[in-house]
Amino acid sequence: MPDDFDSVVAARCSAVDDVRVPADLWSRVQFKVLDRPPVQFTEEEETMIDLETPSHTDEQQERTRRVLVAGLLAAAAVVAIARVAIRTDDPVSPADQPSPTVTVPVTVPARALFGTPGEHFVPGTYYVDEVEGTATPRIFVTLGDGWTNLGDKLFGIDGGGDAMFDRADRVYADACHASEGFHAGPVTTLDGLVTALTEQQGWAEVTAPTDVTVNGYAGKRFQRTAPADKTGCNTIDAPFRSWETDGVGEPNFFWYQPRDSETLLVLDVNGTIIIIKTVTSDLRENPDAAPLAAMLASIRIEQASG
Amino acid sequence: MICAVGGQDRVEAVFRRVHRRLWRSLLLFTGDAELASDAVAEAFAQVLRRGDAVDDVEAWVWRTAFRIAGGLVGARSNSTDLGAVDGSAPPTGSLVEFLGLLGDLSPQQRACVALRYVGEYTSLEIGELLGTSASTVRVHLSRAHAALRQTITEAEHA
Repeated sequence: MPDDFDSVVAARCSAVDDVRVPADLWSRVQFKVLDRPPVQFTEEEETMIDLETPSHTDEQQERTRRVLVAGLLAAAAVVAIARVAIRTDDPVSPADQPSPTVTVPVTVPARALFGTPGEHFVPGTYYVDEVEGTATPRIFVTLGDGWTNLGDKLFGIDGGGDAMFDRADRVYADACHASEGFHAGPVTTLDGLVTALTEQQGWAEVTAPTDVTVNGYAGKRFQRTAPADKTGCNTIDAPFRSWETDGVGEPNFFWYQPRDSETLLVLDVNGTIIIIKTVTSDLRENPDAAPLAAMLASIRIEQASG
Repeated sequence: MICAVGGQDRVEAVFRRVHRRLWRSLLLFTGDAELASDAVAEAFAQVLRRGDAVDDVEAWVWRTAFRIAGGLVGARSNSTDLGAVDGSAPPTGSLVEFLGLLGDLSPQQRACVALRYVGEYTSLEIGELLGTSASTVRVHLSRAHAALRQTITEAEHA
């Protein structure tokens, strides 16, 4: 049970309390201060710079960003060269027929969404071709400014919320009381999963699902809001659990906090029921849900062959 | 003196209060005592240089130390160096084994485990320190639990 394992991890981590901390740490601090010349930070620099020594991760991201920009500029140059109009007043043989004006649309190939954790996405189109270990036709999403790969198959936007692609193998009957067991289901169909999620007990608000279609794939969209009061719910740190997904080892589940608000887009993609969700926390000051909505609206799915 | 006397006193007071918990959190995160010491020292050195420009010294130091440690971890080999650092007692036995298991987690998962169980921060506070959301922190912790449960179970049955 996850609750018991939380104490297992805590017990293992507590062993670090027996490690004696170096006694000379403050001396090391002072040595570092004296070893560097004094620097006057402007207010801008104070807010911009957290590290005087850039991390390798930051350097890698910057190199990646520069490569991508260079790639875009190269693509633009190709377009400029391709726009050719040849005009002549002389009679021409068929072989000399002027080439028609050609406009080559600039297309930057879509990139895999989950590359490097911590990566700041360049605005553009990305794709996934598997969801929690199940292969799918490519699902494309277009991201604007400010999105980041958060790791663990999460991506989020600065100042906004988070998003993820998921599947559900089991849905709890009561999000607040996992001990009540799972919804009878089935959750292997679109209607079955949406029914289980909307009938799940414990939510403060659940909107009625609306039908959607994405590139011919049927789906439903609805929203849920966790209650403000988590008294009596599962555990202090994991009060709400909606569904479980089998993976490597123990099942994964998403832990909610009070007043979390999520939008779920549930799609039947060739028999695989995909959940695309966005979550904003009411605890975050002035969350901006518009970029999340734009991301959901951009979802496109390629048609499977055959 | 780069930092005014009053400013240094303020920073030193924070150091006295948090450095043990911070160092041990970083030890859990990096698996390397020397990296933990370097990250702690560098973070406090940087806040001293900034003087009164930093309002919340404690939060700033935790955030910066983990970012520095993340960079140091990325730059080193995969070996776990748990040898004694000057003035410290080296980790032994089950902790060494556990640190090895943590090495299989992603950096984000490790940071969340360290901040949760040694730093004693809530998911919301961890999110603020790491610049992410509380829900993301909880996903990292959930995935870390799943991975650790499997590896711990396998180790116990080995």
